[in-house]
Amino acid sequence: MDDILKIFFEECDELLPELERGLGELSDDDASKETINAIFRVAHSIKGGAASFGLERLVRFAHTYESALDCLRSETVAPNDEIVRIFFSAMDVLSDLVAEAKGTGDTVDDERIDDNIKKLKSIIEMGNGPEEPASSESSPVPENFEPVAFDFGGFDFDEPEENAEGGDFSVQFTPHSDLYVRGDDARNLLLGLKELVPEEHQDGFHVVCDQEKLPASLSELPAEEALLSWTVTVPQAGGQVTEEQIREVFDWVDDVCDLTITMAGGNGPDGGGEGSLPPLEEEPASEEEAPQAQPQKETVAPTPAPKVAPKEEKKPAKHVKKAEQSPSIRVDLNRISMLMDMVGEMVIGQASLESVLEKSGALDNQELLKSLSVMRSLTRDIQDAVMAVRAQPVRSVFQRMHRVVREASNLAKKDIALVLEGEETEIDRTLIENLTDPLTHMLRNAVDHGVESPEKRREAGKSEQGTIWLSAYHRSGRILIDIKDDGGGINRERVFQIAVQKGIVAPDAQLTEDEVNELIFAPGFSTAEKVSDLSGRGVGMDVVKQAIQNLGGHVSIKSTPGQGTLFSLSLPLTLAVLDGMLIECRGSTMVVPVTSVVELMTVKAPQEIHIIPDGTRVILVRGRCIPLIYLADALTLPWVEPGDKPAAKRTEQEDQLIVLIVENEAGARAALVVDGIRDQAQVVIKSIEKNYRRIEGISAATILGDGSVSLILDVSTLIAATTKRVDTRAMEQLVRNAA
Amino acid sequence: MDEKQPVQPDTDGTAGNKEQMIIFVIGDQEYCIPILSIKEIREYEKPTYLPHCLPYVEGAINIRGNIVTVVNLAKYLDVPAQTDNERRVVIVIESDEQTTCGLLVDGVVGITDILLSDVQPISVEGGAAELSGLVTVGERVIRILQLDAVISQLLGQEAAGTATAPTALT
Repeated sequence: MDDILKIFFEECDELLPELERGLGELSDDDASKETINAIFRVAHSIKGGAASFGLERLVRFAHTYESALDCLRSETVAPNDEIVRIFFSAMDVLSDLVAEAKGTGDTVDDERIDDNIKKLKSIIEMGNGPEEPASSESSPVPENFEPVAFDFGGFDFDEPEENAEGGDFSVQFTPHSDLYVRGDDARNLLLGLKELVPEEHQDGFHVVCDQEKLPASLSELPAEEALLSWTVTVPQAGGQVTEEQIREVFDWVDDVCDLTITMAGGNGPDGGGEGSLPPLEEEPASEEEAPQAQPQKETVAPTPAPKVAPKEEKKPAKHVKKAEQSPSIRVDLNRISMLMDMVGEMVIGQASLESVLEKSGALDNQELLKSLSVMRSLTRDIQDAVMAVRAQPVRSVFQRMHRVVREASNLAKKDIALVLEGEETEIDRTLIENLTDPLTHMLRNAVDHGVESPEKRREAGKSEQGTIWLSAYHRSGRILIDIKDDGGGINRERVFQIAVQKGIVAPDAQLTEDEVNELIFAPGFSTAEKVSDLSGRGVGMDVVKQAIQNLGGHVSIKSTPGQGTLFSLSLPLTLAVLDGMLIECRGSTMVVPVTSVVELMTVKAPQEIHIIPDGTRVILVRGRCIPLIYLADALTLPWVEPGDKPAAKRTEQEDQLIVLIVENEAGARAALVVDGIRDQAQVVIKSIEKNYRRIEGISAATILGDGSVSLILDVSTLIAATTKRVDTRAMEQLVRNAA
Repeated sequence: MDEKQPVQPDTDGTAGNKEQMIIFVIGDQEYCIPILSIKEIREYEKPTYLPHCLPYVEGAINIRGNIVTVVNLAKYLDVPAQTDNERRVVIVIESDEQTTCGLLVDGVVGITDILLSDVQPISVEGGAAELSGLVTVGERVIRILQLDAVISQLLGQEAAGTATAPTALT
């Protein structure tokens, strides 16, 4: 039982975002009938599930919600902003009620529930709730259920012949009460029938429910009797569906139901003439019929409808994708993690096998070489496949942010729209889980501090409604997440003042704009004059920065006064592997992430190296001034031979330096001076911090083919350490002199 | 160093409270650690240098896919190591918190049972926080190494909270 309950909650976790997405489309005015049906289905599924677990508070609310949605569906009420807002706010209550039932959330305020129910009822009143008896308006809970008992999730009662098509099977299915006594469900059988039909023929699949035997009023309903029967139209799909298969579906229940299978094309029950099929191109449901036909099918398939409604076709790809989803299973995340680890070991094992064979000279054998390369590509494919298993669209996190912004803007009394972009961008699941908290905080922050109050916005000549964009996209092997607002931008003077007040920075410090922006991330910094409910406790942004850094990411800020602020998060796609360039440096092999390498070049020393007054050496690359980092010195690598000179001095006597131009996410570049470049390889990231501490300039370690440990350079901190020493103005001066 | 070491007498020192210890040598001194903290003993292989590391950290090695730091105990304890020792070994230990580290020593002597009541505590005053006590076996004086101290220094735990704060702005 607990297991089933768990599944129900998991379903709720999937359904609620779907509801949110649907409502989002409603507010964008591009809602199709399919959208409304989809959100209706969500409310219905939650209600149904909750009812079977006796979660009364949830049922009661979901029921009202469903009834209100029904008004939209029957088009007695047209969605407008106000109505959508009511649905949104009620949806929050709904998800809180789910959390409450799950035991992960606080008990939901009765007042809040009643308030939302009242609002929902006002919608029902507007539509004069089709089947809602007027008395239920003020009735307590139990009566509230009544209308629903007959509302089979929106059956429309088409005439069966309308959908019947020559050559299709017509299955008449009348379950006896015993079928239900056995714990079976007609729905399962109907679903089973539906599964027989190949996807491209699903259009021809129709279910019609016969409710004739139902009594006129609920009080007369014999609760334990089977009164419904169904007529199902099953297309032959070019002979892919046979009568035998249909009978198989009912195999377990054939003694507790009446079943007649006929060929609708006039053939007898046993006439399975495959040749007599009508052309399959013939659309059974024309466009006008589609809206009618859909609700029927949806009762059969509460999961995303496999059919794409005609109107849907011009919708963005994501909807189509959703609709075409292939069957899925739920897998324990630990198993995938284990698999992931083992694949990582396999990659190392593969590499070490190669290096052993190479050393032993066995690689002269062509056949061995060939099978080895097959193995190599297989290993890589397996690795990619495992990664793909763990990759998920960021949508799940992004969708949650709607609510964050909604609640935050309500509290802050601002009108703010959240625009999501690139929700389909896929990213490793472990990252997704760890993104929620930082994103929540940053969005709250954007609402609270970023976007100005409506009055201020009007003064500034902006529209009163503020906008926050949350977008995700891939760039050079990383995922970038931008949080942009069209608010007032960072008030740098005030930030500086506060930082001085709080003792974060010395009053006479000379800071660049970027450095002032960075102050926001200092621990204990908060520009809010008073502590608000939202943010402003001053424990925010440093925690955000820390969380992002722990994920191997970086945060950067761009802010234009009066126009807004952009927070940019750059994250690795996965925490497990990385494409690296193997470099030699004073006898050590190290890994530079390929994503941060811009180009390789050789530099003539000393002619092409310029020394600026503070001793930093720079080179000019196509007019751009780039500081040199002598990697061996920067990392204080031990001398290979005692008495060796620092690399900076030594290399000056040499005539050629091998230089790797690297770039961080902010676009700052530096030139790494290395001894040589060995190879390019995919390496498995291993934590150093697990058994040691953080090392400046090193992000992690990996294991090379020969089993030795190699360090992965943290290009960002290396560049940061260098560029901090190099004053950009001095560099510009130099460029001018050089020119 | 307030964490309880298995070798500290946890009763009033009644006889029969034994702990199996492994004895190893560094230079001409003998040390021991509880045998249960040891995961394996392996040959010394050249580790990968870790930049900006503590002077007594030799580097990192790969133990079945895990990156493990090797501590040169001679440098850590400031004891002259044996010169030209071909038989140096790395004792791999694991702490209660699953932190693994390797200890580079000059050689393993053997295993012995030590009565906890025989352990003589060392005052920290003498600057010997690295050791948790002394024990005499026959004529030999064996020093008991404080493993928690090695590991917490390795992890840099004393500064964990402040080390990550932005320092660029001062």
